[in-house]
This record gives sequence, C-alpha cells and structure tokens, in this order.
Amino acid sequence: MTTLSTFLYRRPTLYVALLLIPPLLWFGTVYLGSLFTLLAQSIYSIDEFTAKIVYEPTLATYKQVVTQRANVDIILRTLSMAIAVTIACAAIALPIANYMVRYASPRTRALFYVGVMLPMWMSYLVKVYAWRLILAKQGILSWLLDTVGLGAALDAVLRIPGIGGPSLSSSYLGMFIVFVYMWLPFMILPLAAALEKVPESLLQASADLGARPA
Amino acid sequence: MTAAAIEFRDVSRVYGEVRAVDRVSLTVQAGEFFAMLGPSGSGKTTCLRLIAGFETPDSGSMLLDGRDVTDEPPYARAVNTVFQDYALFPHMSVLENVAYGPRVRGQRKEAWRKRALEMLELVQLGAYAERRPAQLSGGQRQRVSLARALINQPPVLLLDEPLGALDLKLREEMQIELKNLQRRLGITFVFVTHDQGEALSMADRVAVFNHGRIEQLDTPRVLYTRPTTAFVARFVGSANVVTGELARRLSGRAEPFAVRAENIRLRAPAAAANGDTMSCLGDVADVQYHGALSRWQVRLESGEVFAAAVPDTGTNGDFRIGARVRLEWARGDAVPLAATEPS
Repeated sequence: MTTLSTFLYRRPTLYVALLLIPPLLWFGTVYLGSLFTLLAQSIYSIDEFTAKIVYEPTLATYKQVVTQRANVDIILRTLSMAIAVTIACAAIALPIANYMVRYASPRTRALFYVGVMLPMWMSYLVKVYAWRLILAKQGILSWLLDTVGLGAALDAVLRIPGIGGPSLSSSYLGMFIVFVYMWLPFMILPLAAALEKVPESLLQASADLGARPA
Repeated sequence: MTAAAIEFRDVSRVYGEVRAVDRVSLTVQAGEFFAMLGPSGSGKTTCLRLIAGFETPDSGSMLLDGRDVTDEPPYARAVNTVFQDYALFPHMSVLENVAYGPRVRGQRKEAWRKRALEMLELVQLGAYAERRPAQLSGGQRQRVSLARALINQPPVLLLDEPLGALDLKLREEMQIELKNLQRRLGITFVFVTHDQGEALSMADRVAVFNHGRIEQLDTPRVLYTRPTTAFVARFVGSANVVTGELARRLSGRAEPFAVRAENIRLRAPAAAANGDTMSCLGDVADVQYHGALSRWQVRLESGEVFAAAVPDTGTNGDFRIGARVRLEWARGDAVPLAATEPS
C-alpha cells in the first residue's frame, strides 16, 4: 500500500490520469458521442416513404433550415424571446442581488438565498402547470384584475398583435412572464456571487472621486 | 482669519456598544501635514472615514473649510482618499483609473486624458498609462492611487495607512516623496498610521488616539519629549513609565512619570550620584543590539523592567546578562504624567 502511494506520488501525471479516465470515458461516450451522432445525422436525409436514413451526404437539411419560412420564424421567435427574457431577468435580478450582498443583514440574506433557490427544487412541470392556472382565461390573475376593475386593461393588452392572444396563458406575454420566473434564479445567483467579490473600498473610491448614485 | 481645513466638534460614532469615536474635537489647519496615530481599534481610521463621508457621526458636527458637511455624501465633499488597499478599479487601465474623477464629472476626453497623463508624470508613472493595475507592483499601485486622488485637486487629501503594505525600503522612499509632494502642492494631508516613527518623521502635528479619544495632540517634538499620559509615553517611542510606590521612592512624589530609554545611563552599582539625578539598581535581563544603539532590559529589585538605550561604544561591555547595574537619569528627564491613567 505504502509502495503504491509512493509510486503514485512520484508520478502526478499518471495519478491524475487514473482518476480522470473513468469520468472522461463516461462523458466522452454518453455526452459528446450522442452530440456527434446527431451532428453526423444532419448531413444525411430521411427517405420519406420508408422513414429510413439515406446514407448519402447532403446539405439539404441545412438548406431547409434557412429557406423554409416556418423554421426561420421559429428561430427568430426563440431568439427574440430569449433576448427579452434575458434583459428582463437582468433588470430584476441586479437590484435584488445588490440588496442581498450589500445591504441585507446575514439573516435576511440567508432568507433571500433560500427564497431564490427553493423554486429551483420544484419540478419544471409542476411550476408550468401552476402558472397555467394563474394565467388561464378564468384564472387567478384575470379574476384579480377583474375584481379591481382592470379586466378591460388586460383585454386591451391581449389585443396587441405580436405579444397578445386569446388568453394570457396562450399569449407570448404569458410565456415571457413564466420564462422570466423560471430563469430569474440563474441570473440572481451568479450576479450575487460576482457582486460579493467587489470590495467595498471600490465603491467608496468611486463615491470619493465624485460618482453619484444617480 | 481663514477657516480651518477640517474641524470636528464633539464628534461621536458608536457601533453597538463600542464608542469607536468618542466626543472628539479637533482642528486641522489648511496646508498642514496632520497625522492620526494609534493602535488598531483606537478610532483613527473611523475619524478619517468620517472626514471622507463614508461614515456619518451619531452626534456632533464636522466642518470642511468652515462649511458644515456633517450630512453631506462623499461625492459632495472636497476631499479625496488614498485607500489602504489602494482600491484601484481592476477593469480599467492605469490612465482610466487616474482619470476617473474628471470622467464622472463629465469632462471631455481630450481634457481628462491630458490631465491624467500630467498626474501620472507627477508620480513618475507616465510610461505605465496603458497597463492594468494587476500588472503593477505594490509601490506603483500606491502611486496610481495617489495620482487618482490628487487629480480632482482636493484641498484635503486623506491617506489611510498608505504605506502599510510596502516593504521597509520602499516605505522610507515613499515617506520622503509624500512629504515633498505635500510641500509642493501645499494642500492639507491627513495621514492615518499605527507606526509612530512614520507619524513623527512626516507630520507637522500628531493626534494620538486611544479608545476613540485623542490622548494628546501636539507637534512630534513635544509629543516625544513631553508626553502627557502614560499611554502616549509608551506608544510614542516606548518610554519607561514609572508609577505608584516606585515613583514615590525615586522622585519623592506619588505622581507617575516617564523616562526615555535613551536618557538612562548605565553605571557601576557603587558609582556615586552625579548632579541632580534619580537612580536605582537592577539586574541586566537582556541586551538587544540595534546598530548605533543597544537596548538594555534591566529588571529592578521591585520587579519592573526598565529599557535603557545606550550608544554602542563598547564601554558598557563590562555588564553581562545577570550583572548588577545602576540606572541613572537627570531629574529633568523625568516627565510628569497625568495621574488618572490606570494602565
């Protein structure tokens, strides 16, 4: 046993290799392997009659992606939704993260961390169904807005082309709301971690040199 | 008469139970090199942060150039700070760091660029303008921090232990440079340090802090030769403080007094008193060689340990560790201290 540990201690490269080979094999085959298989399949086409793969290299699939109207629409829609959600998340998360790191007492900070992380432990589907109930045509939100007399305003918003729809849950606006909710923790936590590393004296130095809060 | 650069009127700052600054009043004249000296936790840094505006006093008021700034935020005050950790912005070049002040005040690029380059020349770092702070040595970062604080031409510059992180040689060079800079610019420097040597050699006046209060505020020479409390006597130049029964036996009065180590002579035990002196007997406990001086630790019969700093001429070579010696000093070198000091 001692000889083995001495042997390994003197050969750090071998030691690291022995430790890393099993996980690397797993990662390489299961993860990267399947990705490369998918990539390889993209240059073949599927026979529409037999649904079998025709092993003849072709770029037809790629051509379809950029020429078919539906595909382009999906790409653009996904991209704009992603951009809008990212901007909204950043706008909401930055003040929260800053408050957590700079102003909250240790107790409040712990509460905030739990509050931010707790929804991440819930299943994605559970959260989505919960939101469907909140946003549905006869759901909590529209009931609430009707009660305070803002039902007409909601209808007006839903009539806006592009973001509206028959109900909140089926509109882009609804999707946007749910996506912001889903991804907010992934914006707050890294921002809080980054802000924590900024020394207090840097903020003081900027104030000292004339930088104002607004 | 022109208004004082800085004035504290009964300023207190309390953290929970601790009075970090306890009813401090002080006045710093324009153009003065003012040092705040004290051990850590004595309130000197809090005082500096109060001047900068990073802290607000719980009571009392503060004036800068005759104007009450007690409730003003840091960016509205005409003071700038050199931080202990330099606080350089890591994502900006040296030039952008130095130009930060004029830039946030909306100066045009040509104007701030020119000004920042001048400031970098002033601290002899003109060639480093495009570097990042991480690529500089400690001493260079210190100079960048200095240039950045001076670019707004503040009438008062605050320095928070600016030399603490530098090695001895560099620290001595920077001491001279800071002193020259202050003389050239003619602005008020307020310098916080725990190093009494630094405070004595650089400052026009020194405020010695202890437990949130000023123990003594005087010129370095008065502080050194005429300390008024046992704390100041010990902290500035570590004098021997004589209290209680021993004080009565030596001076004839029960009041405590201080004797500087370098005013004590070592003589043979049987030597006759010479002139108007005080003397006592003790055993040599230790000798430390410090080059020009040797520091002798002598344990008296009553248990107290005296330090005597004697020029290393070789004539005291007769005394070995454990040898009996007579300590002697002129009566005039015994500085009476305030009796209220318990420590």
